[in-house]
Amino acid sequence: MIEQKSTQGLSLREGTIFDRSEKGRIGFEIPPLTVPRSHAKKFARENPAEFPEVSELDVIRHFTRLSSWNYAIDLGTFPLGSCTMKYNPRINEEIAAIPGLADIHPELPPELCQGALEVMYRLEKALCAVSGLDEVSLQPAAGAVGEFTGLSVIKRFHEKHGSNRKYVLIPDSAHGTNPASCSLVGYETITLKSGENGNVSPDAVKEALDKYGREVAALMMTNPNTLGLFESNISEIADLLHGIGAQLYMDGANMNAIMGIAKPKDMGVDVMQYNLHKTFSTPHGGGGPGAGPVAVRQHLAPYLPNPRVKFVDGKYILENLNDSIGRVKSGYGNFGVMVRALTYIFHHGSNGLKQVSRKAVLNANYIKKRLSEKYEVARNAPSFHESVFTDARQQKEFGVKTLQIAKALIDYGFHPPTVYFPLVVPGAMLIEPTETESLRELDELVDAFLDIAARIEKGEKFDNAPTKTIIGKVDEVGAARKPILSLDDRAH
Amino acid sequence: MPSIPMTENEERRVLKTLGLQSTEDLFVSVPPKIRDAADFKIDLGEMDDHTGRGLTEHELRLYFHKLADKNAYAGKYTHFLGGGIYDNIVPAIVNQLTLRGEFLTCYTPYQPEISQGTLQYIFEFQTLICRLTGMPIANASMYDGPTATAEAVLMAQRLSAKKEESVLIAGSLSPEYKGIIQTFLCGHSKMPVEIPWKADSTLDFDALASLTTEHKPCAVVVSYPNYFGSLEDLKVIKQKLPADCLLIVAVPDPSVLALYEPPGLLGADIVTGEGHQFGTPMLFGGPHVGFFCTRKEYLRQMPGRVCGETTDSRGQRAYTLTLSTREQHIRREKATSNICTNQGLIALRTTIYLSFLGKSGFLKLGETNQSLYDYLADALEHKGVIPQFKNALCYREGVFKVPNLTQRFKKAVALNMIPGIPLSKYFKEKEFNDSLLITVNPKHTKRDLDKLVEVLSHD
Repeated sequence: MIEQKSTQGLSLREGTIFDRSEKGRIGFEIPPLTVPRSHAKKFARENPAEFPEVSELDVIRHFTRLSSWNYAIDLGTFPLGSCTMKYNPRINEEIAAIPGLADIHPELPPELCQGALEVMYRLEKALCAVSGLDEVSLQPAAGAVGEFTGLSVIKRFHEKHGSNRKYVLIPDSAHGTNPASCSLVGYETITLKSGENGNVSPDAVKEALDKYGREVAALMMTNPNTLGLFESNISEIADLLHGIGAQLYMDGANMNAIMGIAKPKDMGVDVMQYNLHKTFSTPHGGGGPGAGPVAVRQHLAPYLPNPRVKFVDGKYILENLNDSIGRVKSGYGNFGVMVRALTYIFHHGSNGLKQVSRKAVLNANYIKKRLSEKYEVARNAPSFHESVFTDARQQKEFGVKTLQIAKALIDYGFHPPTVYFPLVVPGAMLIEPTETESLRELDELVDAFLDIAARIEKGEKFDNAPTKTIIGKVDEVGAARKPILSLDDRAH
Repeated sequence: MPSIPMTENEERRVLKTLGLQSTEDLFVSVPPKIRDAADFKIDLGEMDDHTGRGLTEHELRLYFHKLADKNAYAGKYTHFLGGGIYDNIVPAIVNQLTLRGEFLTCYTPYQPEISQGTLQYIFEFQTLICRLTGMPIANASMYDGPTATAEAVLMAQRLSAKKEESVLIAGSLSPEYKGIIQTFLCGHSKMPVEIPWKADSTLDFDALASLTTEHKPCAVVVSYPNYFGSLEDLKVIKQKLPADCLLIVAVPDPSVLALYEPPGLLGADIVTGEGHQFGTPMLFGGPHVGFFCTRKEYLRQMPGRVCGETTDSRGQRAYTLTLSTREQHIRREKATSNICTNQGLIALRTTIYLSFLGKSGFLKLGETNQSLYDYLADALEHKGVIPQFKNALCYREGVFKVPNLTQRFKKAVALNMIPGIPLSKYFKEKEFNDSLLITVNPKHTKRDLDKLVEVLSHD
């Protein structure tokens, strides 16, 4: 057994912030009143909201203790497949906090926010350059909203062309948000079975198109797909769709693999969403905020969300399109995330961004090669930025499953990979190292995986893993059966 | 590149391990036609030296500070903007704590054993939001107030037994909220119908009665306060709704709940709102944080992530994401929403802010906003700038008829002051020609208000 990175360091217990409350204690002070005090004249609140009464140090200690119970990129390798957990450069945070970029109200007249509009304009242009597509809307607040926006644009396009279509084709390897977004837009989904290598086969598309014809509004596919493989037939698939006026939507979740290697427009893609929190290094922040800009080909541009940023006669202006699908987010989208993404893009430049994808792919293939010694590779085709393994060998011979392997990895000081996704691979472990991990860190990750495999071969089951974390296995069934969702739900 | 560690030597080592001649061999599955056209060029504007290199940290600072100086930010201009986004004072510790890498650079807490920090603050966030709104359950947060409200409408439609899914929305709801609800309803046949307002800008009860009879809606959406700053009588509205019609209350400015009865005690079935002013700057509109609360019986139709308290295998208290069978990664096209995350870091900011502000600080915040507004409204009226809606009961913002608005607005800007939002931008009716929505915030002093009155009352 190799030396594990996790230790029994001093980790402090902590109740909720409400446990620290002391009646009458004053926390943050707002400036004293400079005008006469007035009160509610009607509908006055009888009982004040029971917020805690705590000091500054109470708050600092509470949240600092909480933070010490989290695993994060800053602590170690985070090989969560399809999530692109790359390092978040701190210059992004510094720039986003500049008062001239943070303390600005979205209702400022355009002539008083030219700097902010330039950030948006330049980011749109950069995202056009990388994808080859013609126009970009930065408004969607997250990847899922990007999907919804892209599909709404497609729907509006068909309606404007007098065609009321019903179905969207989605391969079985797709992320769950894809079908959920279709439902939200009002489309029914038709699931396509992916081929041997997890790819979408033109034959399967053809078959679906023969069956549903001009009722098909679009096909949604991820490229590289969720198995980390490039969809080589994508242009042929695009031609099939375009032949009947259907659109090709590309989920751009995996753009980190193909910057400077392949442009969606050249693949025949009509619309795609980016995930700025993946490809462009804005922090995931424990589940948000993200941003999901949508890029389109010219024929779909008239339907993008309002307002649009334009550069006319040396000035940035805002314009509303008559045929727009409308707004999908307040303000202009997650502007603070855009600032970070543009900082990252300018920090890397064209050369740097191209290196990002090359190195991400090299790292993924390196891991794949080394891990294949002990773990079954799900698909034997060249990988891009991530690769899928299974628990086949460990399960068949020793009865140890993916979940145990993932939990065992935690004791070695690593975050587990994405498990049981994509759904088309039984016992999947999806590993995405990203370009920001050094070979030394990757070797340590691989060594941990191999050590686990070796211990499994010696009969260890890892049923109680992880053992070194501040809590053990949680009772998820109990949590769902009798939900306690706030302090006031606790049995007294 | 500082963030790409692989050296040329290491690249050769990797290629050797892979048995490849060049990195290019990894891209053989890309058809040549696509591969050959993949080059791109990012335009770095005035900083571009045409070498394709990126900017250093120093150059990035130069460029972005220059851009920032072109914006009328709050430290440079005294502004009276609101309408759903509210300037507030952010305590130093909010920034310090949220920059901790353990919060900043972690992922959605799918692995509870190594995510207890995130999970516990979400649980505290849910508790604070319940106590704020007077509702029994809250989710882990949404993208923003308007999208949370759109999700509430979709939830009401799911709960409805009716085939026709009519929804009524108050005409006095923020134009952004209205617009976003409409966009999110594109998958449905019926668009929302607007309920007109009375002379004091509150909901017209006669119109509400006839519209509910005509459309048999599954939900009615009202805003508290409404876009014009007026408080609605939620209790009466609820009484006037048919039993199977849900009352959705949007709270774009939750600081109102320091002073006024929370919607949870007044009959609301779903309460949504925007929480960014609790610790997060305006950020040109985002990222912000929506909240979403409902009644216990509707829990399983609620969109978004939820955190629950439970125990672990060692008998300790522990937190975990729960009830995920509603969600897209399990239910796919049958999920309650396509949302796959919450607004983690901004929910953290909200939790830190509300904890630090505390019970008495929160009361003071509401009192400050109310007092500043009441003083301003009196002073304006005294100088002949009259409120558009007579007898409106306003919290922190209101609509005023400003003679020669365009000219006086310009004059204010020249004095580094942005006096409000001209409503002709959103309302095409003639009565809004000279209307200005004026909003106060806790940074204002009596001097700022007196200066505004001076500018708006003279040509």
